[in-house]
Formats: sequence, structure tokens, C-alpha cells
Amino acid sequence: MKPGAGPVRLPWRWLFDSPLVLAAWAAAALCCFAAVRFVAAVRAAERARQRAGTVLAQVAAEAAALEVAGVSARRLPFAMSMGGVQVRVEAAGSGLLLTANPRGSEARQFRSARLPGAASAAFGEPLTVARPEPDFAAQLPAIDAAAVATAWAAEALPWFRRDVGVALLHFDAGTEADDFVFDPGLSQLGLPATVDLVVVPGNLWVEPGRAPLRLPLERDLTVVVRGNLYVGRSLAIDGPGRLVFASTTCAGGAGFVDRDGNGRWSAGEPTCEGLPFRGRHEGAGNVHLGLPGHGPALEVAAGLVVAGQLHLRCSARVAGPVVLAHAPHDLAGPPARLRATGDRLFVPDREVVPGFLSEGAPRAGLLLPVPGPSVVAERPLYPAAPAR
Amino acid sequence: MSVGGVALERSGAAALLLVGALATALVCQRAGAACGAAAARERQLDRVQALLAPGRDRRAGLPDLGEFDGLFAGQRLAWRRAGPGLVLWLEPLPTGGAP
Repeated sequence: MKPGAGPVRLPWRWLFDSPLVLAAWAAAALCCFAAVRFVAAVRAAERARQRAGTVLAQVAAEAAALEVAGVSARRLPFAMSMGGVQVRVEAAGSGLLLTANPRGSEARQFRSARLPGAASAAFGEPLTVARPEPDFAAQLPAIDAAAVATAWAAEALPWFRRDVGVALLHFDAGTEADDFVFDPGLSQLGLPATVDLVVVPGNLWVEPGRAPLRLPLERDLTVVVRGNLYVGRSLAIDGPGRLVFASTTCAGGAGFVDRDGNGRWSAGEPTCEGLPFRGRHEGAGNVHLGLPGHGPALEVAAGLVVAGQLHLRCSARVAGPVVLAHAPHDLAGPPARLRATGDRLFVPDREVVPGFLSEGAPRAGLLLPVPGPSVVAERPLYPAAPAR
Repeated sequence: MSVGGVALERSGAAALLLVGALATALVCQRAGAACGAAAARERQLDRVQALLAPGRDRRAGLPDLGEFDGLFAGQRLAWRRAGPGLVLWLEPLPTGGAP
């Protein structure tokens, strides 16, 4: 190194001192901007391509599911090709596993149940009222007597408990049949995984309260009430399950129009069947939305199948399917309004409702996507054990 | 720097800027068109998924599927009776190629 020569210095002003350097900076910035837009466009196109593969697989799987609906399990696996998509249908437990393989895209899998038939069309409608002639009972969804005979009884489940005093709190004469209420701690009490149908051998009460009664439901549940259903407060569902209350008349009681609202049959009140009144004085098959002196309005996140008479003591919004044998009877001072919102309906063609008979030919249920390998790989091998 | 050198530097800078701006505009235009096409395709896919949704009320009549021609390479959608109801079916486009 020559004596006196120092290290080469790069003053900062060189970075912006020359028009050429400034232009280079500006061009670089423009290139960056263009690159960002280019990458965004490529990503959008790739996203659309991936989605098109998924929808294409779904179209093909849906067609294959309906194609094999009537095929016996012995003829599975079944393969078909449609529009460049190979679909393979295999038996998986009691249902179907469909693998759709679109050309140039990854395979997608779907699961579907094999259904014995369709649910009653009324379960897909917000409100159905049976015509009085020729036979109103025949127009209601038919309860599966064999399933009900082997269903869980309310006494066997922690959700329900017998309450001998609840009826006297609301009606002077009480009731003759056993009364059941929902357990106050039911949000902590899960139902066994196999429970989809419960039979209440008496009346069922949703007691009045400030907050709605919240029911945790992971799967669809039908509660068959062999008596009356009394709803004193709003009812909400936590989870994807749908709840249906079915009130049935039985040998011990008949449905009737409680014109005086005293909770028991009085002389002159007509029965639903048009026959002389018989059985327990509170009747059976009736549903009371609202209880005397409680609540301005109700929101019920469940469906109602009412074989007897629906009584309204307040306005009510019902989210599930409402199926009535007779037009509702208004017991409220100011006219009450029943509003069926249809927010929690069934898809009758592709679903069945627990505890009700299905109609028509066997078919495939709704398609449910099976998570891809990346999702499966993230599942823990063993469930986490609580610390001791 | 000489006067000629300054002029050369300035014109070089202007040319660089011009080329950069033109290239950026071209890339942005193409990228915008591609994004728009992808968004339109996604909207069409939304509509196909809505048609696939079981329980869809078809009493008002079956919607025309002509707008989906070529959405899936070389294919068109058609209604076909299968089992208890109607199902969407894929058929090759009459021309045989993707538009």
C-alpha cells in the first residue's frame, strides 16, 4: 500500500447524487411493485385452479354417490369416470368412501352415509300444518315404532330428571303423568355418543328462567315425548346437532284444545281426534309454548312435531321444522305469533331424522369431505392425558 | 463531469425510467387481467357449489348451465337424472377443447 493512501470511502450521497442512480432506484422500485403484482396474480390463478379441482371432484363424487345409491354393498368397490375424473366408491363401515381423482390435480376423498330412504318432506319445510281431511295423522312424519321401542329412556340419561313438583308451580291441578325436566347442569353432562333418540315417558318441561336453556349437541337428536311438552323459556343449541321434539298421543291421553288455559281438560273443550276425551286430565301430544306468567317471547332452536294441539301463550320463533296436526291455538292476551324461521332444517332427500321412518328408495347421504393427508398428519397419535 | 457526460447520464436515466415504467405497466396490466379472470372463475365455482348444495329448491326450474361451459377444461355441465333426483354431470364440450 502506498504511504498516505487510505481505504476507499463510499459517501452516502453517491446513492442519490446522480440522476442515473436515482433512476436505477426508481426502476428497481417499479420492478419490485411489478413482481408483487405478478406473484399475487400467480397465487390467485393457483388458488382458482386448486378450487376448480375440488369442485370438479365434488361434482364427480356427487354423481357417483347417486349412481351407486341403489347398488348393493356386494357390488362395491365401484369405479366410474366422468369428465376426466376417476371416481372409486368403496364400502366404509355402514357408509361409503368416495375417492375422486381429477386429471392433473390431487385426489379428494368424501364420506357418505347409506340411507334406507328419504326423510319426510315436512322436515325440509319451516312449517307444515296437516289438512284436516281425510286423515291428519297420516300426513305427519311417521314415528319408527321399532326404533322407539329400543331407544334410550329419559330416566337413564343424566340430561333429564323426574320432578314431582314442577307441574303444580304452573297449573293448580298439576298433571297426572310423570313430569321430567332438563337437569340444570346439563351443559356439563354429555350424552353418550350413540344417543340419537330419547323417549320421555310422561310430560317434559323446559322450566322458565332468565337465560335460554343451552343444550350441547354434536349430533342430531329426537326426543319423543309420550305426554305434553311445556316450554317456559328460550332454548339454544351449542354445536352442529339438530334437536326435534315429537309429542305423541298415547293410550293414556289425548290431545285437546285447552281453551281456558288451565292445563287440564274441561267440559266443552274439543279433542284433536273428535272423540270423547279420555285418559289423564292434562292430555297428551300437546305442546305449550310459554307458561302462565312467564316470558314475553320465546326463541326455540329445535323442531316440533306435534301430534296433539300446539298452544301459544306468547310469540315464538322456532328454528327447526314445525309440523302440526292442527293449526295452533292462541292463549295469549295480545295475539301471539308463531314464526318458523327454517334456520335448522333437514335435507329430506339426503338425510334421515332419528326415530322417524324413511320413505322411498335407498340413497346416499350428504357428502362430507375427508381431510387431506396434511391435516391427518397433524393429529396426535395418542390423545393428551390429563396431568396427575 | 463534462457537459456531454451530464447530458448522457440524464438521458440514460430518463430511458431507464421510461423502460421501467413501461415494463411495470405491462406486467401490472397482465397481472390485473389474470387476477380478474381468477376472481371470475372463483365466482363461477361459487355458483356451481351452490347448485351442488343438496336441498336446493329446484321447483322454480333448473338453471341454465351454459355459463359454465369450459370452466373445467374441455367440459360442460349438464343435468342428468340419477336415483331419486337430478345430478350435475360433466360432458365433453362439442368442440372438444378448452376455450
